[in-house]
Amino acid sequence: MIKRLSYLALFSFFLLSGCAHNQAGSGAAPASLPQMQTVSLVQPVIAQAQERQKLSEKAAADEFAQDYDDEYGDIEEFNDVVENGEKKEQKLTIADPLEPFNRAMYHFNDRLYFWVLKPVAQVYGRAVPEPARIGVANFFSNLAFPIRFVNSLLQGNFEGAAAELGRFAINTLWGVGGFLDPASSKDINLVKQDEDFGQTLGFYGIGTGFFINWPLFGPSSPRDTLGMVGDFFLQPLSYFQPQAAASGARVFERVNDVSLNIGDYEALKKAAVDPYIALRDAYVQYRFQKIKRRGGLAIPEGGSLLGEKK
Amino acid sequence: MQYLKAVLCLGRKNNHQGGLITKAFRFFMIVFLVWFFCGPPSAVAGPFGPPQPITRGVKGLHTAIGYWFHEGILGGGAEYVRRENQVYSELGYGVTDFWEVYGRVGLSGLAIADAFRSNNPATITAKLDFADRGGVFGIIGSKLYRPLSANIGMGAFVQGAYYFSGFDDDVSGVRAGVPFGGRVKIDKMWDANFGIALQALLPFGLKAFAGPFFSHAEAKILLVTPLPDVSFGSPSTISKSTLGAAAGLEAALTRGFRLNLETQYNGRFSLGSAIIYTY
Amino acid sequence: MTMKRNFALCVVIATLGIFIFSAAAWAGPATDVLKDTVNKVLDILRDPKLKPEAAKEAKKEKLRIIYEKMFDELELSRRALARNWNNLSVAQRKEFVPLFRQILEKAYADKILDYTDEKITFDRENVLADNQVEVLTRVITKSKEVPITYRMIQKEGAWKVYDVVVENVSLVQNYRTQFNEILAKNSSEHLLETLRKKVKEQ
Repeated sequence: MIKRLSYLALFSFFLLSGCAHNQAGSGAAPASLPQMQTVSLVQPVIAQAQERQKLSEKAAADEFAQDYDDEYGDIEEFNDVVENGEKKEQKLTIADPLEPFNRAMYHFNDRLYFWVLKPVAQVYGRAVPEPARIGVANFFSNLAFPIRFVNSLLQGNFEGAAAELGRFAINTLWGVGGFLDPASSKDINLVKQDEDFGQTLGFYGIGTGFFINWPLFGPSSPRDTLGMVGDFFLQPLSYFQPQAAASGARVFERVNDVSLNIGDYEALKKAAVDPYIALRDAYVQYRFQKIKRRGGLAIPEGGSLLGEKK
Repeated sequence: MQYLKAVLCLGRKNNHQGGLITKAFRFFMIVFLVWFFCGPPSAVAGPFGPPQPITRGVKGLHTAIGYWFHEGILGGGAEYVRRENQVYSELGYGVTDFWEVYGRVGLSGLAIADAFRSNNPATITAKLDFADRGGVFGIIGSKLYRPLSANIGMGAFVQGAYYFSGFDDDVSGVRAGVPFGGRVKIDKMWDANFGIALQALLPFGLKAFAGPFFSHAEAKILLVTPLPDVSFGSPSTISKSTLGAAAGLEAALTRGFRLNLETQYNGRFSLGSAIIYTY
Repeated sequence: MTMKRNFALCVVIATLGIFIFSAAAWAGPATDVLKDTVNKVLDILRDPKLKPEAAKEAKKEKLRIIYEKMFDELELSRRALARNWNNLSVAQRKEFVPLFRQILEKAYADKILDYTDEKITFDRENVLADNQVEVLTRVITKSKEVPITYRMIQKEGAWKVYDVVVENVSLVQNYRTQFNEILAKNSSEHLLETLRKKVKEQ
């Protein structure tokens, strides 16, 4: 209902503001800086950059002069997130009493990644072609079916549990034992329900607690650590004898995953001002959203937040 | 009569005039007669599928799971009816729109009727049939296809099967008052088939295919101690080569899935079906 | 004269729009702006003339021009600092805004250059407030599908991005936590010094 009204509102705005604005917005020709268009057509790119720099400085100076009070003034309201049509202040924090330990573990994991995991994964990545590695990732993902299935059931997500069952059947029978993933193809389109025990605990109202950064396993929290333990019993590999072989398989799975995602961690570090905090916050947000979208508990203002697993 | 048989079994040249369809029809008639007179055929392992590569587009991958119930006759002196229940998983690749290669892995049980029947009234065996739950087998095959018109085409295929694990069964009995027992093992069973098929596209996207095939099968009977008087009681190699006919239907289900039904006749009927997913 | 004809064309398209777009999954002007920008970026990334290593700087420069129009650096900065914005002097704020933008540019410029034929789909647009929407997109790579949501605000007729949410992790929120932590123990000047050093290093 509200959507329809806002649609009409935006629609009339669209008409009334005129298509010239829309054209400007779509960037066919920036109406505000017509000089730029001729410049970009004629001059080489670097010289154009210098021009642009001068122009933007001038424009910025104009902007400063005009909006001095508005743009760079104090912020009165801190409501920036919109939830259910209401503007609220976003507060996603987690207690971190073990910060020295966590930071030390962060450095340990960082070294582990750059000195061990990444080199091994790169060699592996060069030796094995990407489709095969994606097949291996699919295989292990298929093997983790019990975790997703049971946790979907525990959260009352019967549709998701049925989808998981269908995915498992189709991928095992018609996907060469799980190496191929026909269930994700457009026709069949059964969505993978990314559930784990930590999320189930969060669904039932167990708060995150505080932040723990485990060596090897990465960011976690007491609730999610309990989740990892619970999920251990749902993995078929855990019942495989000898367990040394199962651990080897897990390491192989990890190396395979890293080989498919080289560059992500480096990008996070490059973009972050404080990488440890960036990682911690990314973890917190990721887990929070995962639980929230399943209709999990409402988080009290500034209260403890839910941690997420891998 | 024997002379006629010999002539027909040795094959015949086909010199008839006429259109392509007429030619094909005549050819199949000849083959049918040859088959009919040359004696009952033997073991085959699994369906052949339609001669046209099973793909979603021009070429591509497909996987399938299927069930096949096979009844045939094992040769080697007397004739025994053999029954197999097979479940298999198939992976195939249509390399071009006229050439496909495929492989299967499956589990098969084996039962041979009257394998333990004794020819001596003094010997009585506890059971008459050889039966074993199952072993693993593998199949590889390849098909070539050639369209003859918009809706009709013909193809040739070759398929071979090998049973990795043997089958064994224990038999016990009494011979002239003295009890005996032993284990019969049927090992290194394999077969090779090749044949041709004609395919027609019916309304509703249904594909019908049929054609003859030639099959050769071999197996070794192994025993620790020979059991005299019992049919399968002495080590030997049994083999049989024969002709049979296969026919089937293939239809598209929803979302890339297809259904295949096939039946074969070589003295006995065999049939099965498979659900295929095309990528 | 062209304006009038364009306006007429727009009226026709807009009228048709009522019948074509359902309220459930419609693509409004914000999505169009975003689509256009993304297509421009993809064109540059796919341009064969800019493929060689030597052209990398030229490529980055071209992309930078597009980013300037696409992102509202002021909104980004204000939201990333949140309450701490008020604790900075106006001069510090004016320095912070371009510094922050440079950090983001340098961090993601190389990552974007790794693009190789991934597909980008524009799924839907959610209205957040009168002048804020979020546009849901997905980047489909060979091994996974990454949902990216762009939150856009309309100021003076132009739609600009003020937050990017990648797999449920909001960029603004992530930096907010980082800046909070730093400013809890250090002065604003220390923060600016850290940012200046980072821009030099990158």
